[in-house]
Amino acid sequence: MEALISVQEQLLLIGQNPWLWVACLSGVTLGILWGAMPGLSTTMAMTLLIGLTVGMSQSVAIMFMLGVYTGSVFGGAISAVLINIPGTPDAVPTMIEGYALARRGEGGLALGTAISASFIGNWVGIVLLILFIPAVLFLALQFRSWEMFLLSLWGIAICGSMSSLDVPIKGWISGWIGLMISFIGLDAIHGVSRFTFGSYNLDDGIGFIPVLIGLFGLAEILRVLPQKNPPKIPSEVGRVLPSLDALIKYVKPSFRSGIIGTVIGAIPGAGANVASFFSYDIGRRRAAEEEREKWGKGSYEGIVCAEVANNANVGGSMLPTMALGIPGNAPAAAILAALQLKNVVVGPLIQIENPGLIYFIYIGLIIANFFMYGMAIALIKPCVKLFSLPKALLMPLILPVCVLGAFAVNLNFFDVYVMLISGLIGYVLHRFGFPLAPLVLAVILGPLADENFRRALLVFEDVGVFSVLWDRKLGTVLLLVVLYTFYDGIFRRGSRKESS
Amino acid sequence: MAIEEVVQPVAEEEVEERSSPNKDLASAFVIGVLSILVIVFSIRLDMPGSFYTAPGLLPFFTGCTLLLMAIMLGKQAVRAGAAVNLSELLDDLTIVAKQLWSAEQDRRRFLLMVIITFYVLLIAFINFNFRISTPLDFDFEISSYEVISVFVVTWILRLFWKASVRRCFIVTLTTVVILTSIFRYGFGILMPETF
Repeated sequence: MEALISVQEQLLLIGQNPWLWVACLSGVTLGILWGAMPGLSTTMAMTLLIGLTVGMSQSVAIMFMLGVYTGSVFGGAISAVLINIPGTPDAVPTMIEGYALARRGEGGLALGTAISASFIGNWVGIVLLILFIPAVLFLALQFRSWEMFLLSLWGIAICGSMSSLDVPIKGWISGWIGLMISFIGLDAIHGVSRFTFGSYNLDDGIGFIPVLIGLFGLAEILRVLPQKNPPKIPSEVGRVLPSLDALIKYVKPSFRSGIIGTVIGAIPGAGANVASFFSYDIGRRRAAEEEREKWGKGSYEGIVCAEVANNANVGGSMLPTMALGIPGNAPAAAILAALQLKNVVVGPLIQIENPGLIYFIYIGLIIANFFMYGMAIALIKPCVKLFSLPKALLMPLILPVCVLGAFAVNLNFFDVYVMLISGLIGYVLHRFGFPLAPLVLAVILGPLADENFRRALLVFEDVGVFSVLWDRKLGTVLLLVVLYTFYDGIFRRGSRKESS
Repeated sequence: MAIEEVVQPVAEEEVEERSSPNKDLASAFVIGVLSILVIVFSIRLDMPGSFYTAPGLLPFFTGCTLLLMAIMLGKQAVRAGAAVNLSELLDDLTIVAKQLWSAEQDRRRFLLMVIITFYVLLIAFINFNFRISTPLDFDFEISSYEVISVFVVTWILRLFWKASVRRCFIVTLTTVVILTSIFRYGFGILMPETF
């Protein structure tokens, strides 16, 4: 009953404020355009566009960012199908199937299928988010300092493992470097300056938004701009919308992929690309023999599996973000950043400190999904035109956006230096095969881990180890999960790699 | 088409560039040194309260575990065939560096890094702001950020896009004016400069 009243209140709030609709539509449009650009990822869209929310009110900013998130996840499919270059990494399976269809003159229909699948995927994610968030919130309230520390550690560890599948240790090293960056500044308990070397600018610590922009924006410019051979662009799109019969045919794979996408999204560190590849792989194994033969040569079912999963991931990634304050993936971390910018502290106490916010986000996601469907269809043709822009033209124009985005958060030029250094370091790390996502996640989670670790130790000062393990069962489970993550990364993957 | 081939130009956080054992060994060495520095600095931090709330406690553990990871990475690299002899390793890394420098793409990348650093420093050290009155009771502002951005981005476009200077200039000017107008007039944000 209380939930229904909250939903009604939020609906009334959204209905009465046209700026919320405008912000959501703008976010979706920008997100689709951004995601559709080859080389511009969802994370980059989210991080760079955070700067635009600085002057917005809290609710408008949230609607805008939800729109960008929803739009940019789908946007990756456009360039994947039309020019065989995925705009975002999770669109690679869509590209494999979609481009094969496009070469047969069915590019429009492939895109239409991707749009419909994204729409369905978003719905699955939203419904599962609504159904499961009360349970996750209940669980979240059992989290105290020790559990929060372990959860942060697990988030960084799992992100390291997932983003560096062959050599998990590189993912963890990247995460640990992020942790060390997060320690810079005044410590939260005693106010002691750590690793500042007398610099007043460093006393405030290193902001994660400039780091995010540097690693995903500037490093990307450095990586892509000097490349040669820009992609060629087809000018004709063809038919766009699939028939209803075709959509009904894919109900079962859609439902399965939606669950896969949401569950993977809820695991901290596991992004939309893990979801789309995993769902695509399971879809291929489960497909009828006749359909399976089409996989890799142009299968609509393959597109459905990948797109439903990566869009359901949006709702899934909001689960740990809202309930635990642990972002499900890098774009969710950007949502978290946008919320923090508006003084919204997400986590176990979200319902107490920000009553109604979760319902607002549900409704925001639903509205963004409808806008995404409409705008995706409307934007396909202009997008094709936009792709005529070569990267050599596009990338330099992103540079001033990076500078503005880094500066706008605190109006402090020091953040621009941080962005520059992060970009250069990010590029070097990339060249040496280190993933960047764990580093960013660790910069975000580091202060949480540090403060809770020391608080927990203080609480446990006069308590025996066995008492801690027995009394704090949730903590013990988490500790085992963390240890298993490291064990799996070091031993199992090592032995699998050797055997392969 | 192989996935490797198409993944290469994608903006991502997960797709890695292939690394070599020698690169991994060099990384392990640098990370090892970094972790030792963190351990030393965290031990030297003040400890105002109990040992359990010491500001250097988690940095110390982080440094120790990072050192362990660096050793493991180094061990993996040696197992995978990295040069164990220091002079051999240095020779290999010198060859890699020479190859990097001889590749046109990497020379262009280095130039781009220099230009971007130069761009940021210019914005930091040159500050001015003009206001142009318009008949619409509205002052149009031009700051050093716009001017520097237009010139530097035009330069980058000229180098990489290879269009005429005039065309590069017009494209940059239009983009920068639209972008700064959205930020300044749309969202009321000041333009970057050092105060």
